[in-house]
Amino acid sequence: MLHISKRAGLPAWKAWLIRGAAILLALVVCSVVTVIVTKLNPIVVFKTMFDGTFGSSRRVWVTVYRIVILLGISLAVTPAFKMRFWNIGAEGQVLVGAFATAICMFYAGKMPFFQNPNISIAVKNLILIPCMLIASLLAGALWGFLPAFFKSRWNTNETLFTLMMNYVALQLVKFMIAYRGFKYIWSPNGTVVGILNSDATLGSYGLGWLPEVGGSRYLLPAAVIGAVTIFLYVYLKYSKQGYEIAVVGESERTASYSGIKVNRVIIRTMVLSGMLCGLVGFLLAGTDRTLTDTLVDGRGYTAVMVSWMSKFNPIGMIFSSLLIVFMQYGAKEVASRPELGLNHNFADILTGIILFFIIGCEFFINYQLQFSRNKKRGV
Amino acid sequence: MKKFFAIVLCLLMVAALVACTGNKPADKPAEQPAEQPAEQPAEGLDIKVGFICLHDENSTYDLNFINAAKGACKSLGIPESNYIIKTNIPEGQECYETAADMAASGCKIVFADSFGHEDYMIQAAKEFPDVQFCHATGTKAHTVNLPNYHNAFAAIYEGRYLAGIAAGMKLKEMLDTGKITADQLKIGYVGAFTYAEVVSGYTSFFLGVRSVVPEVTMEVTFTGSWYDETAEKEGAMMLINNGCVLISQHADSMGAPSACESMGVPNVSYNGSTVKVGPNTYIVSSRINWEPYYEFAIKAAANGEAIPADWTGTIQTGSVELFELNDAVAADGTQAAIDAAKAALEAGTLHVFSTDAFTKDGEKLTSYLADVDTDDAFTPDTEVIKDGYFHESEFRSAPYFDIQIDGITLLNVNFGE
Repeated sequence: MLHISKRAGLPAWKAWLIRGAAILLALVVCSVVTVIVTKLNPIVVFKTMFDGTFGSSRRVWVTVYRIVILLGISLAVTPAFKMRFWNIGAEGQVLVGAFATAICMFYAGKMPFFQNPNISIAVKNLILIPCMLIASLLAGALWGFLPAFFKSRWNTNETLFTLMMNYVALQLVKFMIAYRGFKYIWSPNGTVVGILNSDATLGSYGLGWLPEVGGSRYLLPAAVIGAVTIFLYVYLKYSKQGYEIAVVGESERTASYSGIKVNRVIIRTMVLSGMLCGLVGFLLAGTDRTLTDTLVDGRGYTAVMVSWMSKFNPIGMIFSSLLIVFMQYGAKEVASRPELGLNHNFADILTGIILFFIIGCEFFINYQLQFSRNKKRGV
Repeated sequence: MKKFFAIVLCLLMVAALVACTGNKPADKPAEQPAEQPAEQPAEGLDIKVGFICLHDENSTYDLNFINAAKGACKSLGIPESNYIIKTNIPEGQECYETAADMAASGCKIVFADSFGHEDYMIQAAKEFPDVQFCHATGTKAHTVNLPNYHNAFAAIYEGRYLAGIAAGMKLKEMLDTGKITADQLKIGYVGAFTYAEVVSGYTSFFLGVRSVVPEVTMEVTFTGSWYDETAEKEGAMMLINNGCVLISQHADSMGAPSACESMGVPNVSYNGSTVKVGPNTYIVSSRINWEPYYEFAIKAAANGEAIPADWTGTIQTGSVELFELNDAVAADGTQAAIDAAKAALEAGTLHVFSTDAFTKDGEKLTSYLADVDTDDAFTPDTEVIKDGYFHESEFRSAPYFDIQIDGITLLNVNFGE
């Protein structure tokens, strides 16, 4: 009666038409649910979501920043996933990157050289910021290297290993910012670090704060992640290493038969993943100028979804990140308006519906349904 | 191919249908503005207000703020379209971004409700000197020197003391009816962290109990979280198993009240009535009512008047409240005892932290330097014992009573996660 078969291959425009239709259908279902459940005008709800994310130039910048960070983490996890290495450790890798950056900023602020008022802040930052960058790249690389090394040496389970590394990173940060013993040198209040180097004695523009390019501190991260997007696109698609990743992902045996050193590729790729995560951590801590245990805020896990939704295509990830950030923060905006009388949960329902349709439509892109005409024979 | 176009066509029609149905309710907002201005000019303040909350209404702590925010705006005649309540804002950069966004989008005053929001509120306050930033429970306003940044708290220790009297009356009743003997006079307290705010809270509660039953002792355990239902439940269970015959708590979940209900142990709550969870054990609850402060600060911001760096709500301002007494559990005469103590507190003849009421290491205190000005090393800086009592919440709004007095045993300490 109903027959499901894999499609031979769909022209790209048709695939995009299906995706567009899925989004449209999702909006329809969202509207119907909104009307039935809340009796509100769905257009008002969507307009509020839009207003909350793109309503002013300030909001556009913050939204771009959020997209860029999510995109950056999604890009970072992609090489590993393409290799079928189940790396869910981005959360921890980003956090240690941010941690390394914050440590550099914090201790530099205590050093006589950086406290010397006769040296201009530009010179100090010229020295300090590269140190922060290197420290966070190394920290991220270490967090990526360990699970890969254990995997290639003793065939440990990388999903569990990377997951555990997230907790190690999280507890490390919590320990440093909250533990009583460090309180005196690190966090006066026990639970927050506050704005790093915001002391007036260190100059009006803080030590180690990433420079504001073009009047916004969000432009620099956007430019960096933009460059990473292009780099990764080229790396995965056209480089020899990118090809090796794809082959290892398809079949490890084929890879070793064709002379690829599988273990080396695994370690190299995970170090790259970790370093990119470390880079995002550097941008986060340097732009936000703080370190908290909610700094990454689950985006290391959301990035896994973004990466898969986009089928590991860096350009597709731009759109997926945009969609997720739009819905997440649009939902927060909806929840904040007393005149709508909705809370966070309702906006989450809408997000769920939209994601369901977007992920579900991939089924119709990959497979086709055939209804057999002769029902009697079918039964 | 035909079928494919048929599907596309169908979808388009559905979309068109929705676009039409969507338009119908859209007529409504066109009518609404005609109604709203009619209400507004009556006496409504023309000001936009922003509120930032750590969690959402599932936490009793934040619910208390959300209700106060809505109540204050209602009584000031601020329409719903002129205030914003952002929930689930973590104590980090997001707080700054939210506060700055509120200021940039026209809010003249922004409130935040959690201790860890403070640095990020200060960051936003520096950027928007024309907007007032008010932070509940913070400690830095009197030293940071920003004219548009303010702290607020309430003399909740007075409320705790009154709640303690209710607990003391219950203990006395249990003694009199022979339910417990004099050597079982031990109560328990589930706290979140070993901060001054919590220390001040359990000590004032304990002193309230002891003013009725002088022989009582207390055990305190800390969960290390403001909201952890399991840990609070386990903490209460442990205290009950230790022989505590009455429990109170300073944490935000229903953990301790539900543990008390299941064990049949009387409970004194905080921040809101938990009578629904514990109809047979809930006695009374004290809480801070933030509405008076919200009304005061919003009015001041609207009229361009100054808001003090520290604002401490009291029983007189209506900021310190006791929630409905549960007559099914409370002892007879409780209300009268509370009223008497309340009158004495208001008249200034009774001081909760009178140095006659407590000792430390067996000694009566005549002098104590408290850490009022926040610094990295917790340097004690201000003499707070004068005229025979500890002056709590006078030198800054947030509590700073952190003395471990005799009669209270801490089972553990927890200063951070």
